[in-house]
Amino acid sequence: MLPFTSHGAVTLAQAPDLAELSLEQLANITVTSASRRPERLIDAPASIFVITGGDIRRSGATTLTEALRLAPNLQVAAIDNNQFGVSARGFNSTTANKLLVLIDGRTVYTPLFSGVFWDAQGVMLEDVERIEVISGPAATLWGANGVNGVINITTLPASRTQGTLVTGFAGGNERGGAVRSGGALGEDGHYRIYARYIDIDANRLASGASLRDEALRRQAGFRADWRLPGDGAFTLQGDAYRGDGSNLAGLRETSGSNLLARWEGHDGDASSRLQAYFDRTDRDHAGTYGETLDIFDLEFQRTSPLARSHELVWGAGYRYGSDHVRNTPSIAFLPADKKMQWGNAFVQDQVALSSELQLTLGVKVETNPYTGHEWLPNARLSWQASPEHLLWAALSRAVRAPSRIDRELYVPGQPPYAVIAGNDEFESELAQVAELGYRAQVSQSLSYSLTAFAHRFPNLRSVEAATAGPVLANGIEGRLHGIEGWGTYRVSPALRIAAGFLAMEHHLQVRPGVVDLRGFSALGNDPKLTAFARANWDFLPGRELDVAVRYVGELPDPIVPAYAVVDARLGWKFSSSLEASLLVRNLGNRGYAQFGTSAARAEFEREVLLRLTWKIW
Amino acid sequence: MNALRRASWRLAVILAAAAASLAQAQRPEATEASVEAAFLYKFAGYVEWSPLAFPSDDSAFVISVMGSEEVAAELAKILPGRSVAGHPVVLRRLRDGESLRGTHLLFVGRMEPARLQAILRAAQQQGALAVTETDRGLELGAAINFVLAADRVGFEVSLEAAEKSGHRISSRMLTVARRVIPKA
Repeated sequence: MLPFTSHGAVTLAQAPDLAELSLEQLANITVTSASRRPERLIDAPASIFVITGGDIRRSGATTLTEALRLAPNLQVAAIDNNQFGVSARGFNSTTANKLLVLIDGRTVYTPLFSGVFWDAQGVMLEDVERIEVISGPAATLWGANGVNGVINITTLPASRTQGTLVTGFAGGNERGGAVRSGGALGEDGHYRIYARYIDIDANRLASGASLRDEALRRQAGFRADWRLPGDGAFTLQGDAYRGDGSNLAGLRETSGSNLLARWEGHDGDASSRLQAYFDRTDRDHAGTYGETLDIFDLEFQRTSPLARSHELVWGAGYRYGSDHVRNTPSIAFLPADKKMQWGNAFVQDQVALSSELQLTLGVKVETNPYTGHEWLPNARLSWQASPEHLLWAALSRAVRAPSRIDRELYVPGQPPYAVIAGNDEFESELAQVAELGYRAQVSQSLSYSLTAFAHRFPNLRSVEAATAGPVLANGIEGRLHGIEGWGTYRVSPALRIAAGFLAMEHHLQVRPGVVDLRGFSALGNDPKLTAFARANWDFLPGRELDVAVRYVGELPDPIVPAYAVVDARLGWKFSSSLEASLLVRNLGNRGYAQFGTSAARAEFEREVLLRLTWKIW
Repeated sequence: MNALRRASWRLAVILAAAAASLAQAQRPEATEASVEAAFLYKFAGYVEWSPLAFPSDDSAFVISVMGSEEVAAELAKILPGRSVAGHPVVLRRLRDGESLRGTHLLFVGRMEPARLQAILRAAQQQGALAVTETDRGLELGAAINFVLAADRVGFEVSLEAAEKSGHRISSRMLTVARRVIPKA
């Protein structure tokens, strides 16, 4: 997995000599956030949106899923405090399975269903440097499962989180806080440690009854970075967490811990990266199932300029999983215990055909425990007519390899399996994707991006009758097309406005000769249109006013009415160390639901949150 | 769907046209470190250096960097062949504890506040103009502090700290500064 920006096109050698600029000109240069990567977002031939740490702070978000709402190319929907659907380019559900999610290089989707348990993904939001959201296939470089998109969360290096930060918030429905402390480790190293918790009260159903979806999550962790001789770096980081959530079905307990080590080195113009991590997750859904999963993951990647016009990136990865499921009478994964191995190797060459035209060809081969190996080729062509304008096109084949749920799920948990009976013939779901994008940095104050996309899915998941009972099979085919776009306009140094939208539609049909027992709604529930607009205004020095509006169209099945929600935030910086903010979520106070059936989904109401943040030096 | 498709394309065309018409001159992006390095070199030209700082006419102008290999690497790219007020510019990479003697302009990367404060105090005593990139750099004793806001690198100036190190910062530089702490 590789940050997208590390294979961009423009190097500083092509930029004018900065030392020749005036002080005023220097003060006006946009910099890529705190890294040695000289590439610009505008150069990446993909639909990529970046949420910065500053955006998160000004959104008032208290959880990762809320912060993800800032990306116009993501659909984020909460059923309640503990169950979320997050997807790019549709097929959204709590078991959405076509997204790759990385937190500081650690892949967090579960091999149980190829999706993410969002209630267990806590991140110290104050320490997030950026979240890159790529919609569309990006698996060649990033890793498996990036069929519809990638979310790459990067936290600040420890050198940028020195001193102590204490933040706390409280509102009508939730309260929480976090502490982080950073310091030096000898001459060349820095560390930070942190702890955070959040406590959320139950929401109500439309009927007024409690949804009993209280949530209490606690997490602590650390990160240490060392600079090595020759511009190398070594990082060691880890987290441990515990969460108690619930819903009408009962208690859901989660816990886990992870430890990751990463080495990066440079020799000449080439760079290498070696990363290893261990990740344990534990989960218990009372009366339904429990799972203990251990993952060990190792990967290597090397980037080297071949000749003057070629940049080669290649790498390989190995992943081992040991999964233990505690089956119940209601559902079972058989076998209950499973050891799994995945491997991958990839190579990508970026060829400068001319100074304006760039061709990127990549291929990845992946092995998985179910279908052997899969090929993921991808070709991208970008035309940079001027430094401010980029037109790009991409063709990709993406693969969602089977996960345990596709082949080993049995419902109920003992025979006869009247609902789902497992199927060791379930195949990888394929996608053929064409994209056309245009991105412009029109001036220092105006930039935007537009992408049109068409996806073809020849074999999506269906439920079909078999001798043992109904099984998951590959009997649905479909197309998806749409357009997504966003832009930012800096009206003045104190006022920035941003807006974005995603309009799409899919057409699904059962393959000839197939009888689907479950219906298309099992694949996801998507609005045709989502849109947002927000304004960040520093109306006085140290005073911030932020207003955000987001619109989500109606979801068809089950029906969730369209809604528009306004959030507003007022921030005060009393000094360089003390900051307060007042956030009002859902200013209009019309209760609204985001996802799920009306019998089991929260009606979200207005909430006022006060936050204090103190930096101690 | 056709309506949606038509609307989408119309929007695309309008935005593309807007882009083309608004297109301006080339303004490249860069890394934080490369912009800071360029600033450091430019700062040298906006400071009236104390005559005591140069033992002879041909002594070098010394820029020292502590705690930021990124900025040192960027300076190493731009400094060769350049001069400040007729003095050839020399780059020194310093480790914590190494003497600051001979340094004119010192850049200190992000580090523990207590450590930073000690280095800044030593810089003042040695007559080096200190530049930092830390939240409360000026308060800790730096003469110039880089601040990153809205993806742009700016700087703030403490005339008080500059004076203590024996140098004068030109008013022209102050017009670009985001914040200026006046003399005591």
